[in-house]
Amino acid sequence: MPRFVLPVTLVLAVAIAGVVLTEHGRTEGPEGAVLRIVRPVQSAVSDGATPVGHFFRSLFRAYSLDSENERLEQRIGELQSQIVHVSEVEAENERLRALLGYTESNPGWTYLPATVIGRDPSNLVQSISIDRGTNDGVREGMVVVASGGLVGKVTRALPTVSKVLLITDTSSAVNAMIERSRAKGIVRGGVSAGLTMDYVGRAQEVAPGDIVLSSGLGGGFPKGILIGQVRSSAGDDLDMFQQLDLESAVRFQILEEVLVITNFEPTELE
Amino acid sequence: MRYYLFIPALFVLAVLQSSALSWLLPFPVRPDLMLLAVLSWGMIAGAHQALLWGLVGGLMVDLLSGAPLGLTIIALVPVALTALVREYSVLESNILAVLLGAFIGSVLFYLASMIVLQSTGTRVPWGETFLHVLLPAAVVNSALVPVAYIALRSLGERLWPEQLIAVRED
Repeated sequence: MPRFVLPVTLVLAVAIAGVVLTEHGRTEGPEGAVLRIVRPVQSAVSDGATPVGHFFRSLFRAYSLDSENERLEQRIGELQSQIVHVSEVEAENERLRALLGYTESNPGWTYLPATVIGRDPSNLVQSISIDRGTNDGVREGMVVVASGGLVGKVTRALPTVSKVLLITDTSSAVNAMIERSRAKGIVRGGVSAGLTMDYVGRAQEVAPGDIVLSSGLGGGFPKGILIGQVRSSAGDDLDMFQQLDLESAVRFQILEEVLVITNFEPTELE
Repeated sequence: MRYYLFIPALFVLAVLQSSALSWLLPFPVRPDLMLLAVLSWGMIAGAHQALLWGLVGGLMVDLLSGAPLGLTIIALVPVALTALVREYSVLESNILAVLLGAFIGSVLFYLASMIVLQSTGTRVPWGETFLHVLLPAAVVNSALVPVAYIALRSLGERLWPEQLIAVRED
C-alpha cells in the first residue's frame, strides 16, 4: 500500500498543478508548444483515417443504402408512371375540351359522347367501334362527329357497342357543298383513307383551301357539318364535272373520342 | 380438350387485329394477323386444319368488323387451301413454300373479299384497291409470314403435337 502513495501523490500533484495553472492562464505556453508538435501528426493521421473511416462507415451503411436505393428506384418508377398518367390525362382533357368546344359552337344538336374502342380489322373497310349502343340511345343511321367535324354514320347498333362507317370508306357518300360558292357535290371515301368530292360543276368556282360542309341534301346528314378543305381540283376542261381532292377535318387515324348526334332523324330516300 | 385452345387464341388475335394493331401501326394497310395464322397453320398442320381455323377466326374477325358477316370466312377459304402448295410438295423448300403461299393467299383473300363486297352493294374501286391495298398487304403479309410460321410451329409442337403427328403420318 505505501508503495502507491508516492506515485498517486505525484499524479494528483501534477493534476492539481495543471488545474491551478490553467485557472491562472499559465498553460498556454507549454500547451501551444505541444500542440505545434502534435498538430501535423494529428492532421496526417486524421487525413489518413478519414477515408478509412468513411470506408468502414460505408460498410456499415451498405445494407441501409441498398434498401434506400431500392426504395428510391421504386419511387422513381411510381413518379414516372404518374408523369405518364398526368400527361395522358392532360391530352384527354385537351381532346374533351375540343369536343366541348364543338358542342358549344354547334348548340342545335344533342350529343352523346363516346369512346373509340376498336377499328375495323379489315384493310378494305373503314369503320370504328364505339362504346355506346342501343342501351344508351344509339340507333342505326345516327350521325357521328368529332371536334374536327364529320366522322360518319352508325351502321350497326348493338346493346353496348356500335359500329360507325367512316366517311373515308369507299362505300360512304355525303352530300356536300363548298361554303364560299355553295357549289354542291358528293364527298366519297377513297381507298387510301382520303376524301374526294365528285359532281362539282365545271363552271363552279373552287379554290384550294375552300371549306367543305355537309349540304343536308338527301336527308342523310345534317346541314353545315364541317367535312374538310379543298386541296386540289382534277379533271379536264372538257369534263362536265370537276373532282376535288379534300383534306379531311378529322384525323381519323388518331380518333379517340367522338360525339353521336342523337336528335337528328336521317331521312332515307328510296 | 387442349386442342380447343386454338379458339381463344384466335379470339385474342382478332381483338389484337382490331384494337392494338391499328393503334400501333396507324397506316392505311396493316398486316392481316388472322390470314397469317390460318395460312401458317395450314402449312404446318394441313389444309383441313386451316379450314377449321379459317371458319372460327373468320367469324371472330367478322363479328368485330363493319363488313358483312361471313366475308372473312369466305375470304379465308382460298387462304386455307393455299396450304396445298405445301401438302403436295410443289416446292422443295419449306420457307419458299410459305412465302409463296402468303403472297398467293393474300391476293386470293383480297380478291375474294372484294368480290363479296361488290356483290353486297359496296362500291369497290378495283384498280385503286388492287394498287393501294391488295399489293401492299400481300407484300407485308409475305414479309411477316416467316415469324408467324416459326411461332406457330413451336406453339403447335407444344400444344397440339397429335395434330402434327397425324399430318406427318398422312
